[in-house]
Amino acid sequence: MSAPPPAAPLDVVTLAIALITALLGPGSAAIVGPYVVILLGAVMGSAWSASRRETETRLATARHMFLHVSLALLATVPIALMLGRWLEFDDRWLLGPVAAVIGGIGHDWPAVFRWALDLGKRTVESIAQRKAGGQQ
Amino acid sequence: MSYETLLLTAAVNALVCAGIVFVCFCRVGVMRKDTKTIFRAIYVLMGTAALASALQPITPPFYSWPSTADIASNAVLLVWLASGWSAWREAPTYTRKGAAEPVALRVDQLRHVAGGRGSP
Repeated sequence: MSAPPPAAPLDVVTLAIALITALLGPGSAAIVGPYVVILLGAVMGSAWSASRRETETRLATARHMFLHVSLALLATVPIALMLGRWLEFDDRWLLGPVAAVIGGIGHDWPAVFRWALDLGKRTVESIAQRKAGGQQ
Repeated sequence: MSYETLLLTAAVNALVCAGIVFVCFCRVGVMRKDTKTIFRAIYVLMGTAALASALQPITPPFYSWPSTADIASNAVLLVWLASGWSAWREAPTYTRKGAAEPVALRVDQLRHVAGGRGSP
């Protein structure tokens, strides 16, 4: 008796890839499919962060959204891969949420970096203190 | 329906949706820190949903060609949004935190109407 055929992947990104394959051809589909999901997540997040800012011109809003959508398009895939490995979760399901968070942080990125630096500094200090305490 | 008709329908739908995305994100742009969360959520979600509708042949969870009904409902939404164009040159007062609702017609306000509550 032969083994049953392997189950086909049924997640949304696979389905998007299948449809784009039909529309654009197999070469483009594998790239475009996940990026549509990232684009939508990033647009939602960056619009949310734009709504938190003080009133600006249309051009300033467009620039803000363009910058953060671009950042999400560049950074989402590596972050989702890293998170997927760390959480032992299929990284393709993380693309949309990660893009939304990247866009949603928006103009607060400098504050996030400052917080991360402070956290790193405090961690290093506490490790150094523990080592110094152990040597005495 | 022929492939050309499907493409034309998708193109017209994308055009209407682009209008909705533009109006929604213009309104998002004039919002301030004190704008009520519900108004921020409405326009952010409406703009994102319109973008998803424009890209629906390749967008989860649609994966389908738009129909003429999609175009009609999106067009009505665009007309409704456009009708508030002048009111949204800056975020209207009623969208701010702590402000009253735009049409707060309460029963106790009807006393000034002949036959209303409290009228002679």
